[in-house]
Amino acid sequence: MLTKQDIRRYSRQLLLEEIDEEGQTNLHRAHAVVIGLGGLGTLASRFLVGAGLGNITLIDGDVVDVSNLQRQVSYNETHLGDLKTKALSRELHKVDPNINIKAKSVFADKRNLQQLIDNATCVLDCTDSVTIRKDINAACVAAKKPLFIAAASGFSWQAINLPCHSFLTSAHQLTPGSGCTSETHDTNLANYTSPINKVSRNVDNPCGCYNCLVAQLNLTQDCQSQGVLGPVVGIAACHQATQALLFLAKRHLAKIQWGRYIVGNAVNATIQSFHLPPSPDCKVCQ
Amino acid sequence: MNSIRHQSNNVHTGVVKNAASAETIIITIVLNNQSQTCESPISVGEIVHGYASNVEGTAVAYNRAILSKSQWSLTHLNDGDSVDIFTLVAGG
Ligand SMILES: [Zn+2]
Repeated sequence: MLTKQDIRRYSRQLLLEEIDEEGQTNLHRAHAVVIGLGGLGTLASRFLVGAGLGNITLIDGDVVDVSNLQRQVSYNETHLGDLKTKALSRELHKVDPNINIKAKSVFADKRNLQQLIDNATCVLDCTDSVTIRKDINAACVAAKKPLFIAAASGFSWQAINLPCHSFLTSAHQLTPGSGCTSETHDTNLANYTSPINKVSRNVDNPCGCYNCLVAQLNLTQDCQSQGVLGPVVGIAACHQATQALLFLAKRHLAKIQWGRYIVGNAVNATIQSFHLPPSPDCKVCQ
Repeated sequence: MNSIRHQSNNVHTGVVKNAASAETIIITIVLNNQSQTCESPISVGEIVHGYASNVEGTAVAYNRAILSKSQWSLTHLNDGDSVDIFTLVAGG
């Protein structure tokens, strides 16, 4: 039940049928885990919190550096040298002091990921290297968590929404309590139990995982070696936040494009999208 | 584009007399949104190597679906097929 204050605060998005009152309530009960608090993570989490996401976990072991300010929009000179988790938590609390923010000042890795994403309704991969992205993907596949990935380098931005994988191969084996079947903070939400919409249940056209995409490729590009323009990372983060919000608000209705790899070019202003089929020899999802 | 093997300037798909072999089949494909003719048979792998000097980090979509690298050399192009070659990015 929304309060008068909620209705005023979220009035602009309550008008959208993809959100409305039901979606707003769902957002309040949802929990997103944001891994990496750089150009993607700062902006995506700002939009999630602004939209009324009730619970967010921020994960990064890094501190704010002056070279971050060009694209990591939540930080400013007063944050230099501070842990990103602390700096971002402070700024997000200024947006809405009622949001439940958990800060984990660690770098995500193979050993801690399973625990870090345990209570997530969904995970946002906002990191900056293929190695950690592969680990996050593997952890999400194992834990059956929907994963929203975005990336940017140079003038290119790319993104993909990956559903909980077991869903596509074995729809009846979903574990209660996983991000796919129940709500972390309210398991009794009757209308909130069928998160992945019918489009993504397309067993005839299943999608692969991040490992299917990168397993045989040798990627070296990151912002440090290739350079990137601030707003290009911003485009990727805005897309990622939009997709996550659609999912978190109305998981059973949103026309989420699962398993489509988006390739955006910020110079030509073009966007392409490609289906990512499962790779038969993928060691993570097959 | 000029480095693509078997590339031909023929605009139309069809059969062309060739001095060396009896006949050559020319197909038209759409490579990164541009029409392109080439001699058949030709694999996705040959197209990629002709297009990108360094294929590390290069991803390929064949008829709008990502094609895993192990399939590049096994997938042969037909007339009207589309191939999109792009570089994966991972920064954030
Ligand atoms: Zn896979």
